[in-house]
Amino acid sequence: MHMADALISPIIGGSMLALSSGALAYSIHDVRKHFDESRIPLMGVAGAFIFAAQMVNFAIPGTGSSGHIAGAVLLSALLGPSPAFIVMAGVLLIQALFFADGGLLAWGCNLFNIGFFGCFLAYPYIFKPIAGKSPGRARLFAASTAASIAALELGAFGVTVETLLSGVTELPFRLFLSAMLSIHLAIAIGEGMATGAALTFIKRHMPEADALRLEEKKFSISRLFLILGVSALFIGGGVSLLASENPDGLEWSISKIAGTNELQTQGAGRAFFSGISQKLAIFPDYTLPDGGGPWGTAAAGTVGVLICVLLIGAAGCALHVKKTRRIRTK
Amino acid sequence: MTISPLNMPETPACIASFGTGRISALPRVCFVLGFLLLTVSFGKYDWLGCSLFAAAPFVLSSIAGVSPRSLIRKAAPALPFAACAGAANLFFDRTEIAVFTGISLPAGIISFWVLMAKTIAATVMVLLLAAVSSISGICGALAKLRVPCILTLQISLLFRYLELTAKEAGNISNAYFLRSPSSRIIPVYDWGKLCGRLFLRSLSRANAVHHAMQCRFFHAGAPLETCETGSKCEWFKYISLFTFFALLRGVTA
Repeated sequence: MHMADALISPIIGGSMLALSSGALAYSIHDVRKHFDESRIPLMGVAGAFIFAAQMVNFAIPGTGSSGHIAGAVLLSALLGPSPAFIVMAGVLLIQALFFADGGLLAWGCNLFNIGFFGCFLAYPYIFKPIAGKSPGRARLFAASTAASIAALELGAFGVTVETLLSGVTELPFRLFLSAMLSIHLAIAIGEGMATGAALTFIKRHMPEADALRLEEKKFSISRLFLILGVSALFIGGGVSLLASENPDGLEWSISKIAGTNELQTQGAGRAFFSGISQKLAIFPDYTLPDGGGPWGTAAAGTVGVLICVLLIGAAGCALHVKKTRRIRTK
Repeated sequence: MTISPLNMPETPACIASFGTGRISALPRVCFVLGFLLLTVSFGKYDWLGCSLFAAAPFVLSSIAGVSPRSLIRKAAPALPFAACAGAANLFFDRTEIAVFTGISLPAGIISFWVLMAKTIAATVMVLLLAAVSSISGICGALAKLRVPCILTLQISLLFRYLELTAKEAGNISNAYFLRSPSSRIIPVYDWGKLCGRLFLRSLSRANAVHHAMQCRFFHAGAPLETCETGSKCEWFKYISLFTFFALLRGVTA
């Protein structure tokens, strides 16, 4: 699943590098917070272990082909998501530098596709709920298989989208996606079974293996709110300055067919709602009423984000209050 | 690379100072990143520039005394996926594009070649960087570029144990095939046991390493020493080279 440098454009590579660097910074912060010096060699050797484990191919049942593990779910189950993500970052960098597997510019893409989905999505939200606190053999297998399928399929989806957005291939989206998802589904089932078997073996021979895992933080809604809020403000107020002034797909199609960007409204009902819409639209076409240039767009984006936050927050509060009242009345 | 468990444990300062040889890796790392950016910035049909860029790492490798054949051999695994992605262009992109005066080719063939040339240029240049720089030098350069010490230390340790653990994995799989000569590939139900065994061995090695590091006053919280910044002459050399490629990129695009 490793993407080469040639398969990505600088914009996609840079964007994915920024995303992966953010996740890496978070992981490093998390590991430092619970810092234990003995983890440093453990992580180094775990990286070498996962690298070596990737060299041992296993037979994929029913396909006649073979595959190897990506390792993000296995590492997360052994070390915890944040250390696992750092280890994956190291492994991918070494693979790009010395083994021509991946690339330096594509490192962000590969880390996101292979590491992020496995460590921060598949493990905490699929593996852990299925495995539970003291999983048996069947639960470990089920959790590993489900998490591996989610991680690899999301990774394969990421590869498809990044390659197509980079514009290097003429492959139709559906064809490319179906090829990627189907082959990675078979590999993921194999990886899930192999991960389950490895975890069962380790648990049996080293019952204290759970102690190796870094304590994971509980899900914090306020932290998520803060991260999403800052990201939304950054995109609405900052990235919107880079937005293209060309018409979007629908406007372009209409202009090609009708010769104008906006169709004339017909009928009293449509005229009524169109009038309401124009009165309510404080930022027509995502800019200030008097234009304001690019900064007008940024201001409109920022205010739009704040209005969304207020409306959705108010709706959430209303639902929360209603639910609390219902519980009290019961 | 020779690796011995006995001489492995080192203080972070030792690990970082490994790369501070006569020539700093920092200008090289910066140059390679710049070269990669220029390479991937070529358009889909810029075949001339891409071809020249694909040839450039081989010219540099012969100057550096690195065998181009070994670079090609190492770069070969990177080509199939790019070829698969680019092969579709041969069928879906059939408009004619003029290559020389009077000679035109289907756009799919040109974009396929551009993709392969970009892959060769990027992969061989990165492999060349790895061939002429030690891992500690690269880690030192990364530390100089403000990459957190926990990551650079992790990369150093990972690289040092790679060969050892890979040999261990090779031994395990060899032993498996010697015991069951009829099987050609390890089935999943046995793979788990082998992988688990490999992890347990790696873990005991990590503990031994940590104890040995402590004996040598290892302190992971201390900042790593970075590599030398590089002399003005080195920077001038690499900036000139980058400028040349940037001009080439501009002229041929």
